[in-house]
Amino acid sequence: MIQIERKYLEAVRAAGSPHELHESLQAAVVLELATIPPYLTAYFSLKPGENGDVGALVRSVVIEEMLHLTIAANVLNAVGGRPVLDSKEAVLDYPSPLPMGTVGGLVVHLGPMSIPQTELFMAIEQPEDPIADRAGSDVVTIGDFYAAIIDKIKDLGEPAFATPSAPQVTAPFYPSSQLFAVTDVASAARALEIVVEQGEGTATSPEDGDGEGDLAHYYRFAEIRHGRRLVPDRTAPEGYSYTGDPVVFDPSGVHPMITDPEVGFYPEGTKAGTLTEQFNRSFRHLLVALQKTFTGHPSALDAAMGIMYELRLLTIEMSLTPDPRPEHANNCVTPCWGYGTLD
Amino acid sequence: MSYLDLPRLIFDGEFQADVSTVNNIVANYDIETFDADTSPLSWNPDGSGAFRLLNCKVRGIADAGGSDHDDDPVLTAVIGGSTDRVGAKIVDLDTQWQLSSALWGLRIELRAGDTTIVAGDFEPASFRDLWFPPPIGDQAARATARFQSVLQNLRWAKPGVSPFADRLRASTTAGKLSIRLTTFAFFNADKSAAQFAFGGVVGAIGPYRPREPHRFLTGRRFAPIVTEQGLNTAGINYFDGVVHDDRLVVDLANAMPILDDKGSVIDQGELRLGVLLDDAADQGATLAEGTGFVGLGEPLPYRAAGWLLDTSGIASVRVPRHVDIRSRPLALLRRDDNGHTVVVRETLNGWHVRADEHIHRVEAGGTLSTTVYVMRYGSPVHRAEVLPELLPPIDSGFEPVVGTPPAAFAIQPPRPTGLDGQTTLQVRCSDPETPRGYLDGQIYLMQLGIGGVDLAGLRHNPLEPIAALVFDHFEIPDCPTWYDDIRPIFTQYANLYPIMNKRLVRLDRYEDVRHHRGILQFAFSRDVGDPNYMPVTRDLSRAKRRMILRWLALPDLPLGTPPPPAPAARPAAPAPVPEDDAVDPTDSKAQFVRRYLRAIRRSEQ
Repeated sequence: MIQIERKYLEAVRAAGSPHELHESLQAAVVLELATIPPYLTAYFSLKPGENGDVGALVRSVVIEEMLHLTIAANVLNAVGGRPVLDSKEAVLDYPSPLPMGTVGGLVVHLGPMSIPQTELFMAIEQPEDPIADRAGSDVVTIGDFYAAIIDKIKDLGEPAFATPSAPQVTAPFYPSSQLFAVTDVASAARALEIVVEQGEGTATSPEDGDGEGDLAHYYRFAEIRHGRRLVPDRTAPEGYSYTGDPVVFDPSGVHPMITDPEVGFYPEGTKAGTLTEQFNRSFRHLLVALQKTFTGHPSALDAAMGIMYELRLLTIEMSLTPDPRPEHANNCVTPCWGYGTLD
Repeated sequence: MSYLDLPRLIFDGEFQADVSTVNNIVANYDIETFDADTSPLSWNPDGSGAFRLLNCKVRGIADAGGSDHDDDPVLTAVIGGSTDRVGAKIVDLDTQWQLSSALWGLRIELRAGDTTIVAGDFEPASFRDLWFPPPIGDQAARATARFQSVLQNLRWAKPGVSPFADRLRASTTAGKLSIRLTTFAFFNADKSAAQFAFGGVVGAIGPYRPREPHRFLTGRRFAPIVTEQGLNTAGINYFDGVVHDDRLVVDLANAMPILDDKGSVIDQGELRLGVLLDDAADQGATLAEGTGFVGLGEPLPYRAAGWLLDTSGIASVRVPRHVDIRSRPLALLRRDDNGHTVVVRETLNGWHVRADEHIHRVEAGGTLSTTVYVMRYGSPVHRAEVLPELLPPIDSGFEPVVGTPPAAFAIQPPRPTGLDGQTTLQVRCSDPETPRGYLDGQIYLMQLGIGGVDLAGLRHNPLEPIAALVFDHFEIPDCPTWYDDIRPIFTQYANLYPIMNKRLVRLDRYEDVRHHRGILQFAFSRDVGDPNYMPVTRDLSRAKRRMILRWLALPDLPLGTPPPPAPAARPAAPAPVPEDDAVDPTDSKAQFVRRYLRAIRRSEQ
């Protein structure tokens, strides 16, 4: 999981009221949102019908990141805060460090699926102490941050939930065991535990704790990196090893997207420019829909879901459209995930 | 009086119509013969169906008191679609009726900075008076069409934000606004171009008046003479006007041949509106001013640069008090050496009969219902007898016959019109019993006559009959299965919408459908007006949609019994329908028109 500066953890610990937790929870919302563009770009870069296992792994992580965003926003609302999503400040200008001052110089790039990109995703999701892949450093992760929030919510107790600011968001897209209304200490703690477990796994198992045998995010990406499923292995020191069925990543099954796309690469008057402008506009529409969803209109989540598919369709068109720069004529257009205009 | 009334706002900008085109070819619906590698897919097989208004800005406002509100924020407003959901969709009624594409799920918002001045939902409407201007000299104009509808579920800015919006709000009724979009210069020749699937649009928004139709103007109908071959001989398309107080206001946006996305109009000489003094003077007649016609206002400034965008094609001329405009036909005249020539005139004796909704989807056992208006010189006609007529079956020789069996389309004689000139047209639709084989249901076309009035004199647009898609009856199985019930339907959609199928959900593969069950349940259960509704084409009967939802809700998604292995040799694909060499092969609408008109003539012989 993401490594963050210790001061964010301390800010949570120092909070003396629910109000003083709002900024931390908003930071969590922004952080969860920030993971979606790089993961989706990688997913969208896979050619149809190819790299099926890799695509399924990445897609499963993205879907859970959207859940984590929803949970963070639900908790923020439950303790009287107001999630902000439709704001330039809520969107990263990639390449960019992740929010909360990630340590170790981790910079997140947008780009097509590749082994280096997978390694970046592993770095984003790195558990405190990964099983079968120990890094061994003493770091503060987003998992610690969420754990601190859980502790703080327990300290603050039920009064913290006395004045929720907006209705809770639930959706049939997720099992009710994963997405449920946050109304009290117990439900808030349970919801945030899901975020940590799906992202990091537990200290003793790489599984994500939901009982369905899914791996935590780090291990799903690591399977791609190692080219093998992570399986129980009695001969391995920690009981697991990457010795299961092959997970084949075929670089030729990836659209020729570029890493670190910029709006300026796709000027107005080109088809690439038209598509980039529309993609950014649709991404903005997604943010507007999410803003509505988390500020009193939970049913707007349906519209947000539809926009996700619109972004997918636009990326398909981009993958069929050549990069207008002569020296990149063999590349296709790559989505920039910019904060678009509403015009 | 609608958007031609005051206060009125006009805007212009671009539209995008990313239509999908595999479904333009009728034979592609046959899952037994379709072959993704060899079947013709037309010019935009990967279209998503999206329709968007882009870069649209307010061009001006018109008000009874003049426009002395230069600082009204509405003058800086942009007109866009909704900002919190996907783009609208543009959809044909059926592959065998492609001349009335409709907009679904379009929301229109006027925004100045962060302020929404007014927003509303565009009631789904199909374009009318589609026009393919003939080449004039070496100038070839592109097709134009007009969408008229109402905006509903209006949300207004607080009073005081925009004085214009406040006056518009005070003037309109029934919580609606009248709106017209005219689309032109649609570009689809080069898929790699930035402007591919874009065109120009001019729009107008005005007050809605009680009990007026949502989708056309109850006014004066200018109608060109159309040859038996379906060719408009006037060089000007159908258009409408209204008389209000001492002014005649006409909407010429869809009447003029428009050359490019700047709205440049082909010069057709000096054109002027007038009142014909001789009722019999018809198109092509040369008349002298004063004895043959009375001119109204100055010559129309349509040749001025920027005219279309600056006016939205709306022209208003004063009618002198002494001129009898309410019982004499109007005309558009061209000045020439010998006087003036009638370019296009009002329908004979001013008769006009039209249905508000002319595009219908009806379940077997359901009733088509729409309000019909009868007017003469723009005034409602009391006790008129409306004579609906089912057009005879059409057999192109290449495609399934349309309009059979007639017995499944039982037109009820409408009551005579009331004082308001209105009556209700109803058609009881029964199961057509799959007369088109691989296509669900049947298409029926209808036109309206008036008792005691010569039908030819009504000068109906042959491209605008009332069209209905009547679905087949379908009994929902208690336990639908993939092989028996779902796969045939999903395979057809998979063939027709490759962008969905190859890249989002392989609808023709059980495992993929199973994997995406949740999102399919979501899309198939939307309201028909929702832009995420599936199928996008809205051409699936209610019963079949319910059956799909029933199956998607079954815990194990039953597979059923696989059909016996297909014979090694697939049925031969049908002979391709010959394209019309006289028409741009990328212009599928123009090709459809030519095929349709040819098939009508063939069927009549």
